[in-house]
Amino acid sequence: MLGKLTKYEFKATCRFFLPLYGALLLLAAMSRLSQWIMTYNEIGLLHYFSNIFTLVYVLVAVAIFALTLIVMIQRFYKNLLGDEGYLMFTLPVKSWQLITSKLLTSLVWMVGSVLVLFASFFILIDVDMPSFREFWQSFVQADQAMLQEIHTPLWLLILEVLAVMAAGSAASVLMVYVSIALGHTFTQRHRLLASVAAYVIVSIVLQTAATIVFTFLLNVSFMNWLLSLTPGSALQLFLGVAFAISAVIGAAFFAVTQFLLKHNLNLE
Amino acid sequence: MEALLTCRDLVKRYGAKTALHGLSLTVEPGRIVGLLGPNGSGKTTLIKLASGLLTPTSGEITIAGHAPGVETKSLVSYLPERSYLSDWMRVEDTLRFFCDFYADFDRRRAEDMLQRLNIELDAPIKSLSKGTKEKVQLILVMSRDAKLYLLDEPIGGVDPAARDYILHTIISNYSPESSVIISTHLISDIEQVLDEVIFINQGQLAMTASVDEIRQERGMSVDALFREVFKC
Repeated sequence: MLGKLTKYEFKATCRFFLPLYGALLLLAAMSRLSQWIMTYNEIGLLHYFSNIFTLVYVLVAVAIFALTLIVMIQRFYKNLLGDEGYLMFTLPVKSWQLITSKLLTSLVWMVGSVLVLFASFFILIDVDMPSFREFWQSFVQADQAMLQEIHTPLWLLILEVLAVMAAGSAASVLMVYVSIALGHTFTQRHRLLASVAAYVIVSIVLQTAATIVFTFLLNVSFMNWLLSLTPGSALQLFLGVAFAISAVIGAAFFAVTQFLLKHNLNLE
Repeated sequence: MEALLTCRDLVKRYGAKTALHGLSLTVEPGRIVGLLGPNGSGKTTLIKLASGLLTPTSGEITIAGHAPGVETKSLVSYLPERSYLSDWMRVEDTLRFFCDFYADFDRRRAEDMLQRLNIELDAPIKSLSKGTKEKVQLILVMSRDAKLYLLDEPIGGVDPAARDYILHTIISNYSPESSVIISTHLISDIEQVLDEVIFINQGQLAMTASVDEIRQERGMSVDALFREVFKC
């Protein structure tokens, strides 16, 4: 059922993203093409068009990131807690599956948007692309250097950083979900406003918790212990703690959202 | 035979407001039941509790012996009193959606009914009128071979001709093992198809009776009885 839910989630959202992804790549190509023609032939009008392409390219890039955020909010708010919720919550599926399908889809579009932006960058700008062999050689070199310096291979480090980023992104999406779910629990009217207020309150709570933890840690013996670590283990510690914090907070957000959707659901 | 729907001392509160005040009732299989009551009497709340959209404050509600959950949701076919279809879909997509999620969905039956009511399969949901959307939803809901159909105001926005056709499909589609609960104000329109009525008022059971009993023993129509019981 999770697979089917995710399939429909993609169907519902791809009509926003795919056209914009296509537009971004096309604009990058047009901009690059007009610049390339101009290196041979200085045409005034072409210069004008080239600037327009670049400008629209930037606008579309901004729009893609705004859209990633808007669609993430709107799919949860409208599809689950609006009228469509009457269908979604009477499907024979569990509420964690509904949340997970939306979370996965949001994460995929976030990654997709970043990848498409990178791809369009390479189209737009004349990057001196190193051959794959050169790239691989420098990767292997860096890998060995890392292994010597901090006793961790580069590929593992990259995987760890990606895991930290994934956990962080998931936690930030779930923070939006839990805020909307909270906003819908405590009021019948002004639910959007209540959701925004819930988001602000959750942020303040997290900030306060972080401040308290840091004040506890800011003492001489802890600092001495930190300084006694090798750079390698300090890095591992940092990544591990960052991952654990995101995972714990994300799991808490998920659990609260699921509880509210299961026990306190009250559709308009 | 096991009751399809059982409520025991069912209470539902929304904050300070109490929608259901210790409601107890059972619905046996093979019945078409009219759930009748004035506005705000708790009809929609009861239906939402049975469909699993709400959780009871206290008391118990079971469908074929199970508390509302994934299991009961695959047995219950619920029609809310609002439009729940996604704007971006076409009529055909909604059929596929129901096929994907409900094992008991009969696509052929749905297509036949859509054709009969002149609704195009490739029409975008966005382009449909409110009444047509209601028809599509009712067709989707009635095309399942569910155990319990919960229809909340199913014919409110539908024209009288389509109304007759829809009522006809309701009686002809359901099997002896399943029951239909219809909540409505339009009593005289659905009276002909009902086996039983449940009157609720202010979140409590006012009376239950079979329609034959009302007709034969009291010599009145359900509509007339409703007007008498709930006289303002």
